[in-house]
Amino acid sequence: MARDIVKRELTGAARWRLFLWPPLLLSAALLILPQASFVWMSLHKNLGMGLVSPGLVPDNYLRVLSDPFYLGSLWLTFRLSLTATAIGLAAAFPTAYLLARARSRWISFLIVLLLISSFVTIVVKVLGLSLVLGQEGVVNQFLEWIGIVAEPLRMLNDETGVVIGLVQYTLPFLVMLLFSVIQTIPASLEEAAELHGATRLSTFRRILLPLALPGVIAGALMTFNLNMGAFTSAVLLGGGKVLTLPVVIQRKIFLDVDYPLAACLATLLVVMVFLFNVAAALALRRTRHPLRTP
Amino acid sequence: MKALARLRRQWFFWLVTAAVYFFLLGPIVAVALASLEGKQTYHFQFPPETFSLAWYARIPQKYVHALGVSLALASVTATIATLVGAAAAIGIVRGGPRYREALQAFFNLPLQVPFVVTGVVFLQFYNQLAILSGIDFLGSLAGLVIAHVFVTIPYSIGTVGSVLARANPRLEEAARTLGASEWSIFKRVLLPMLKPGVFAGFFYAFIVSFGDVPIAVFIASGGFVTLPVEIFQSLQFDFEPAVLALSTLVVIFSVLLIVGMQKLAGFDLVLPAAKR
Amino acid sequence: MASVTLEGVSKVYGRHPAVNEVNLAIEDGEFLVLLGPSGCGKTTTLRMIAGLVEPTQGVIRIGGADVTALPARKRNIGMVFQDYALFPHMTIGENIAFGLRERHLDEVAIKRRVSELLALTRLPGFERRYPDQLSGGQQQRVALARALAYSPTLLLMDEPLGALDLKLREAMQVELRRVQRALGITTIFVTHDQEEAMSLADRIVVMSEGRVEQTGTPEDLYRRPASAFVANFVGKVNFLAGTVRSVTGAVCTVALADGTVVEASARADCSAGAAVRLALRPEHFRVVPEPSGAAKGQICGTIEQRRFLGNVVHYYVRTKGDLPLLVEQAGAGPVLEVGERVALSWLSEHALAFAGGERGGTG
Repeated sequence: MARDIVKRELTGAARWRLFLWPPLLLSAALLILPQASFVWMSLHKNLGMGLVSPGLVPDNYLRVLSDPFYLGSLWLTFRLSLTATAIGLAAAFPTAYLLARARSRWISFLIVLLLISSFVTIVVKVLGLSLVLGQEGVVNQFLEWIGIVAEPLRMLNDETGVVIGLVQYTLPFLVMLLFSVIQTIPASLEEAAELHGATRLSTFRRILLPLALPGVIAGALMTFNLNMGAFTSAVLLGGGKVLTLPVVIQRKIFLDVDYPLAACLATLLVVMVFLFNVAAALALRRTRHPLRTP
Repeated sequence: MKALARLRRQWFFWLVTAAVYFFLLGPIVAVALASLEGKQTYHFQFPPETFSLAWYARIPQKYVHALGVSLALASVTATIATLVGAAAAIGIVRGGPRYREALQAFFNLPLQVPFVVTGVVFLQFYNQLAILSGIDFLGSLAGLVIAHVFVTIPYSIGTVGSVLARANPRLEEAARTLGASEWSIFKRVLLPMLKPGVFAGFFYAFIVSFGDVPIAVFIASGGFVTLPVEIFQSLQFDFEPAVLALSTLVVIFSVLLIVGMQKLAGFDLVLPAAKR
Repeated sequence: MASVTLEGVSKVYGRHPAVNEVNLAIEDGEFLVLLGPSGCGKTTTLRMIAGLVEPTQGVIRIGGADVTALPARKRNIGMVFQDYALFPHMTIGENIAFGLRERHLDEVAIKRRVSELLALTRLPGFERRYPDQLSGGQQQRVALARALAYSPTLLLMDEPLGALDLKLREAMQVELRRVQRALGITTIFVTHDQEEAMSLADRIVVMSEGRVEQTGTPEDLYRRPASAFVANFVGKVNFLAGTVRSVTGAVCTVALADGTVVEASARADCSAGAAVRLALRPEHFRVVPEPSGAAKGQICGTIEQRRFLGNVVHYYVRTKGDLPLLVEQAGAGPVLEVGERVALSWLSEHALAFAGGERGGTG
């Protein structure tokens, strides 16, 4: 009897497992076929005019890894992505905390605003940023009016502008993610800490941060990945001077029509991002997962 | 007095939150206000000196066309990605496959590939495909859809999966004891439970597809250029003030869509999706 | 250890007063239970004492000192939460040591104190486990140990036994009293369960709609409830609607809805002609088969249902017009059959007349 039931349940699960095959095949095809052809392309030599050499050679990789320009570009991308991620976390965590803990009717309105911000395409937001932060933008007008600065502050067309653009791009996603993370941490834990004598700082350090850490790291990784692959703000707010790897790749494609080199650079970017993610995942595995999901 | 006391204790949080909202919404509001500038200047004018809706009447045809392309692309992409993602989520959560974690990691891979790389990858893939088989996806809606489906599947797996994981499997057992067939359980118990996750997944896929630049910029060309790419090109090369009016319309459309979405799914169900 | 006083304490959310002008005096070493239905303001009162909720009005004193504006962490209070609020990322040992670390004790002292508490709460050997590896009862004891670790002056408990099953609950009640007596710590305990309140409390405060209905020992509340609400909430009670005929000293005569005239103990607000409700405990009925009864001061009815519970038997007796009355008799006596006609009587001192009688039947 009992055996029959077990068997029946297994066939039930097996039936659901059939659902897995079409998506698995499709995802595998979309992942493997293009990537394979792409890595294959990166092992060719560019002959100009969109033509490539017939044989497989590691020339591109040797060239990229020995050229300070490309390595510098990679380092720049890394640096700007990390900076934007750090600023994003610092801004998103208090905001998400307030949204998750406050009990007010306005909270749902604030969340709708967040969704709107995340929905509006980055190019429109970049356009708005250049209106607001430009030499003649409202922010500079205001700063001059209250007399903080004598000359308009230069916020765009350099690395600062790019970082501002990256934060603008990822911040709403990060706030939403941290919001749902903090919501899963019962408020009574913070109350208990406070009652047992903890200061606000100590409650944050000993209770909130450790419990939110897996979510914070997941959010940081998501943000970092988005930043590493974004070039809209680098192109539009960097004034053509901030040459991050995505910008270089885009130029190799459109200006130099050097597909093999672009493929090589893109492979480099993927590998770096992937290694970073794996390292983070390994680091995370060592910390005990505090709130088990049911 | 009470509110003031609370404000005093949490001033730091309120300050950061206010700054975040100013930072996020300020530029969008600035675009909308600047679009109302009546003077026919070909540079940014903010805040506007004279109010007029003149630019709204002068949005070039190519942008209207691009808006159509973007809408079609986002709808088709979101539909396919949601169907595929929902199937995968059901398989993973209810099927209990052996290598569950590895499968989840595999399905999440597209989000770990930087978008610009995905763009370049599909550009070259389509190129080689054209050479090998003669089918040219470049500059076609299908080409855009395929690349976007690739990056949006993880979102709907995430949303449907989290709804499924929270749903009580006893409900399906209850339906079985009440005499429901497997098909009927799927249709009358499972699907209604999945609805919020499906909506949220559709919503996210739509957002990503509709707003994407780094992928589409490589594969959109000819008759099929998306709106963000058109705006991107305009900002990069020759700015037209009509872009401000157009952007404002896009913002209004986004607001309407979100409010509608919230009515349909509720954002407590949209939000957990962000966990992925 | 300390006494606690609340002077005119109120908490208003929006326009709705959750706690309304509450005055309380809790003595040093006392075990006080705040009892009431959900939404009566008992938890809000507790959270105001803890410092987690700021009162809209009034003064709270602990050990004589005004703590109304003092933040929770400076009040030196131990609290056990309804969901225990154990820190999931810390071991049991770290949880118990939490308050000690915040007070910057040296590690040796912390270690000694933690093992003392593990012994006190009978959890030796659990130090290195995590909360989610413990049963509900064990988690409850850890929460208690954590709250007691830094020798607080006051222990607060918010429905701490609500999640446990009945057997475990009763065992924990005994355990809790043992620990509380051993330490002599002033304790305020919130519950909606009157049996739990009766078995634990030195004194019970019954609350309803943000106000204190009555304060007294369990015996006081049961025998001399100040209102129909208290009579109904503490123990089981039947209500009979009627009108006061006359009052003579401590006894009044009441005409019930069906015309029967009975005697009851008169309360201050009873005057001739007033509509009243008579509150009668199930165990205070004397039951006799009808033929021999139906005398003056008795009401008659038919046994509609019988529940044999071992030590006692419950009968539901249908009387004229009213809802069935719950009657409790010793299990050792003769057992009556369903359908039998019976007459019910009682001592006048056991029938309490409360003003305002619209409802009858079992409370």
